Amino acid sequence: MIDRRLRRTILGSLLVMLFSVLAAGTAVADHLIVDVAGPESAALGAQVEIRTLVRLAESGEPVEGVDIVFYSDASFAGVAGEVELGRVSTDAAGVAVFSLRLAVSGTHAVRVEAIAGPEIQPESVSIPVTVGGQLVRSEAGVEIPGFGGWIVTAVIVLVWSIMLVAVVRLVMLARAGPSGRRFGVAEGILVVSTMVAVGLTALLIRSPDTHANLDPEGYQRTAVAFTEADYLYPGPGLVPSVTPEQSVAYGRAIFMSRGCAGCHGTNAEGAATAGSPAHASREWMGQVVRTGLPGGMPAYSEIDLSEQDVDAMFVFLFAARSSLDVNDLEPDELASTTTTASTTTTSSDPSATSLATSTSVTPGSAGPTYEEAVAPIFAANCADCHGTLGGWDASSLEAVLTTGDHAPVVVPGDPETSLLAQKIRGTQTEGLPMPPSGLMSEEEINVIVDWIAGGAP
Amino acid sequence: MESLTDWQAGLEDTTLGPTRRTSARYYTLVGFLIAVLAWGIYAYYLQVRDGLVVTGMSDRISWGLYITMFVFFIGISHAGTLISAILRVSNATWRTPITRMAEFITVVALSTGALFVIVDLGRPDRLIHVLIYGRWQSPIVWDVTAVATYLAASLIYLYLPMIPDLALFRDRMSSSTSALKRGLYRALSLDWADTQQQKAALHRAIGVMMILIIPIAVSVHTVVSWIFAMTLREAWNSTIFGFFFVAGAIYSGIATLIIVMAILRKAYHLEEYITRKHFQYLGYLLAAMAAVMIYANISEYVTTGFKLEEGGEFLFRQLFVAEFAPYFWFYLIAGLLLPPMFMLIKPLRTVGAIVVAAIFVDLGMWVERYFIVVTGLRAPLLSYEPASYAPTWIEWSITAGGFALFALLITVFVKFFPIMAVWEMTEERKSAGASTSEAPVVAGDRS
Amino acid sequence: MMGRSMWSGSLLALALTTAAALVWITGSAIVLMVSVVTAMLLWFVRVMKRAASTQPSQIVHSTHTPGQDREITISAVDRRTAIRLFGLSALFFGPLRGVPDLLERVVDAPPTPQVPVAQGRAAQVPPARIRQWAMIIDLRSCDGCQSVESPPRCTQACIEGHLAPEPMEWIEVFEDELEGEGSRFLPAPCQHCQNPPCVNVCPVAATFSTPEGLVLIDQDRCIGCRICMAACPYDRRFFNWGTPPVPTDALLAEYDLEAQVPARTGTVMKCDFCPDMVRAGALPYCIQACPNRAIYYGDLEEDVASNGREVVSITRFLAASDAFRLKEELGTQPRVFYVPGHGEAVGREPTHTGRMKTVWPWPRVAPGSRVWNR
Repeated sequence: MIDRRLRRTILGSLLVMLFSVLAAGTAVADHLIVDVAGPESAALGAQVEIRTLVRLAESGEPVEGVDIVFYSDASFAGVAGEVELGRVSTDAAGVAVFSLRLAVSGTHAVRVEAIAGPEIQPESVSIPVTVGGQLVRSEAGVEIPGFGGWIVTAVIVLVWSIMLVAVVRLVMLARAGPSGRRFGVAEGILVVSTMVAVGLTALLIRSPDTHANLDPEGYQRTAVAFTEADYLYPGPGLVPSVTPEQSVAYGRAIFMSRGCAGCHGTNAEGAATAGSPAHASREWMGQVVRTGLPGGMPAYSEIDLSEQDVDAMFVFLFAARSSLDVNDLEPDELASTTTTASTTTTSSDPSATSLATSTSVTPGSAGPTYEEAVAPIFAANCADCHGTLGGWDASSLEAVLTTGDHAPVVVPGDPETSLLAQKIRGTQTEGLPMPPSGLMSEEEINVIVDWIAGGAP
Repeated sequence: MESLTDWQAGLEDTTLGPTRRTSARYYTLVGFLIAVLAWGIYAYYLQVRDGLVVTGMSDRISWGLYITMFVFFIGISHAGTLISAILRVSNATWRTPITRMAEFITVVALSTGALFVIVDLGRPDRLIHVLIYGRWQSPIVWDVTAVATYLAASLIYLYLPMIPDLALFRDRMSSSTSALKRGLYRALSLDWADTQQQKAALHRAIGVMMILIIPIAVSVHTVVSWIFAMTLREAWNSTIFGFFFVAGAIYSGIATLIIVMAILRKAYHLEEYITRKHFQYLGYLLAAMAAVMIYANISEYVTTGFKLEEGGEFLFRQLFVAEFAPYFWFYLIAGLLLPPMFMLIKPLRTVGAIVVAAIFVDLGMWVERYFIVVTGLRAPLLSYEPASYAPTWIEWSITAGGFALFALLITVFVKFFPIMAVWEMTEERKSAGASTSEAPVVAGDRS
Repeated sequence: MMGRSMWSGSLLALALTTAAALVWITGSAIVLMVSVVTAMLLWFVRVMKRAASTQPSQIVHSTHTPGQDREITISAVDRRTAIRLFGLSALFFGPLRGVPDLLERVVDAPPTPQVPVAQGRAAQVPPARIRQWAMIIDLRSCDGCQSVESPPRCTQACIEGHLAPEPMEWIEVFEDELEGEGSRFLPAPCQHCQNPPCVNVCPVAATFSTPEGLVLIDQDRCIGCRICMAACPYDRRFFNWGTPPVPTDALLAEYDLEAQVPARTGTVMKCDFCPDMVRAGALPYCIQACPNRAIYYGDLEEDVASNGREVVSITRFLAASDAFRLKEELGTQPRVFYVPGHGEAVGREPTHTGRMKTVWPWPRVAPGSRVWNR
């Protein structure tokens, strides 16, 4: 029988349970929402701010005192890992601002972790840095204000000229007899001017401003390099300075980063536009690289490709010889001109006309999206060159849409005018078709064209 | 009081004396000096063959006896400039008998000092690199330029007033000497005929050189000091090093001049011309320079010692009380404080006493150069034990060879060239006699 | 008279021919200059002597010895001869104009082979960044290799890798006394200063700074004056006092500025940050050899460094660890940073002092060499 006491107890317990559930609910049901915003793009060396806002998931209230840690990927000398860039705490408004100086061009992916007690909420933001350059310059030595080698030289020439005047006078002594001869101005001018001329010639030969911060003969500066192999110190003993594997890897890195792989293939196997350079002699390679050739091989200056870089590439190419089947290679001479290549492609490609007709995809329909369909194609065919080289960056959607020497390369909705579509179809005749080693397959080209027509989502 | 012509004849005979007669004693001396020099050359040959490892220098104390000798000799070379140029500019008439010796000491000291730098090089076969790859920003190149300029200027400055004396030699010794000497005098005397125009031209030339050579000489030892002062070593990092070294150079130069004067005076009986007054005047100059040196040392040590920055304590300890204390106190007492005393005490103003004072000065200054070089390098730069430096027999041999070369060149010079500036002395006596009818200023005691 | 002038004329022709041949054979600018100056001087003297001989001799009274008249020749050069002299001497200025070109051709580096005119368009290569090498030594992890019971491994690896002669320790581990009790170990390589006193004083530019910030030495140019050793405030330069006691294998190597193998007598050497290795993407010997991974090597331009096991951001690492540089007050701007510590991260007690002595493990050294003192 439910009497009054029992009813009060049950009601009270229910109230307590309700109350505790309500109270606990707020604690249990709380998640954090972390919003991270970085700048759209930045110039090299710029100090950018990454703002994070931490809110409760349910109520949207800002949370104070949450530690936000920022990480970035980095690698050096074959050691790769994640680097902690810094940590900030959110303030009363739930906002934490982290200041970051961007030192390298390319896209910076910053990983963010918000730590509130045991809960860690990851986020990420990527910041493209579009303008390259050099941040740190070493100007060794010291400039002494007011000290000029020329001033010193002038003083010394003056002193020696005055001494020569005295010498000239004493020579005239010998001939200043009782006939009353005065000092011979002509001879004085002659000797002094001769000495000054010799002195100036000596200056022309050897400039007094030999500052020790110049590259001496035979020394080449360190170039940007990276390697894929780890170098492990094997212990005491006579150790060679660089293993052959490293040299090959280094040479391949030069080969890639200077754009050679674009035409010659990433393994130097050659392509439709350019033959394999693997069997070239060092001398021929050195000459071709400097002068270029008609038909597309560019001329590289000493600054862009030093002799040491060419040596390193030669090491790679020499090693590549053994791994390439000779029969697969194009002949040593470079292939025919780009115009021939592109006309062959367009004329022999029956799908060209069909491409033109099949591009009427209505916008808004479920066409291919970047993440699903297009990014893998770019990664497989384009990212080798378009990412490290300047110009168009194929590494992310924003980069694809915004970067490029002839930006924008993608006109959403209009594949005909999009430079990207023209390039991959080979209809754009200025410059090389893309990829230079040979057009992509028809399906891949279609995917990209459809994607552009669909508004490049 | 003898007439001008008699006095002149006596002077000429005395000056020609050394070239006319050569005693056995002379040959013995020359032979001894050549022997010491040859021993020094042999030691250098061993050094070139085996490398500088035969010396006592090490990575921590990388300069030693050779650089000491270099600095010392370049310092001595300031004797000629002071006496000849500064006293000539100030028209001090008593300088005339000693100018020749002073100028010649300069030339010989510069040559010997320059040789010691070459001895110190690790790769003397690459000496030409200093000319073809030279950097104007380097203190060593400043040094090479300044010493070369000073050597050229000193040679000209030695030669100009010697022309009339060489003409004298040519005239008076046309029959009694070898064809070599005759040809030499004739060529070098440039047809000097003592005409008005020639004298005017010579005076002009000497005038130009005497003004020019003073800043050159000051620059030389300043630049030598900057080889040390342009480094970051605690003991050398001083802004007054230039002034310090020039003062020390003039100081040791006067002392060397006094010593050489005394020896030549004794050997060739020049007492009538180089009198006690000369020694006294030079002694006063020596005392004045000692005062300057004492002041410079006080400036240096009091300002450093008051603060005792890091490393200062080590320097002071090794200099005042520990390893280098004997050197430092010898330099201070015997080299700086004692010599001026000789001039302050009247009974000590004799030729002999002044020469003793000069010997102390030279010894003290040599010791000072030594401990400046070595203590500067000895202070540890990081946490390691201070190294020590002990010169080997090869270094001592080459040093002895250097001194022998210096003495040998002076000895041989006296045989060929007039030891005193006859023409200048005669001109000065004439003008002194014309202006006043009394006896010339510098006659007097011969003690 | 005729015979004399013919004789002197043919002598002159012979001299000129010899000089020209010498210049052509040796290609030496100095020979050319010397012969030009000698020719000018000889011409000057000759003209003067000829002028002197055309004047009659005169009798003058000698002032030296009265009563003895001497006959001397008075020489004078009249205005016409002077102008002729001046004008003819201007001929010598002509070849002087060509001297700089000649010298440029013979003194400078051998000319590179002629490259044909460019036929391809100029390559568009993104500007390669110049690395700015730096080193960070984490003293919290350095225990002087006490834990591995070996002489400091960084020093050993450097010696073995570069075949350094005894007793050079290009990276040397010093033991500093701490304020309280105990000591800490301080490995000190060349600091590769950005305002290097050694570079500033070198008379022949044998030691120089590279655009990467390294300070290197060209042992082909060094004259062994050792002013750089007096100028270095860190005691990091070493001299080859005698024939260097390098291992005999080193004598087979071809000398390279970046490897400094074999060492040359009478020249200066020091740590070079292993430029040939880091260019190829490896780490220097000392970084690789450290068992506690205490030394980091990195690029200030890219702001990344590695000790072989992990990567760090240089600015972050230095800011977070109170890093310092040696003798900062001297203004040398070194590229080596230190994180203060005394080996506590690897469990060293500061009172555990002493490290093992460095070993140069060469079984056979160059003949005629001997070891000197530091």
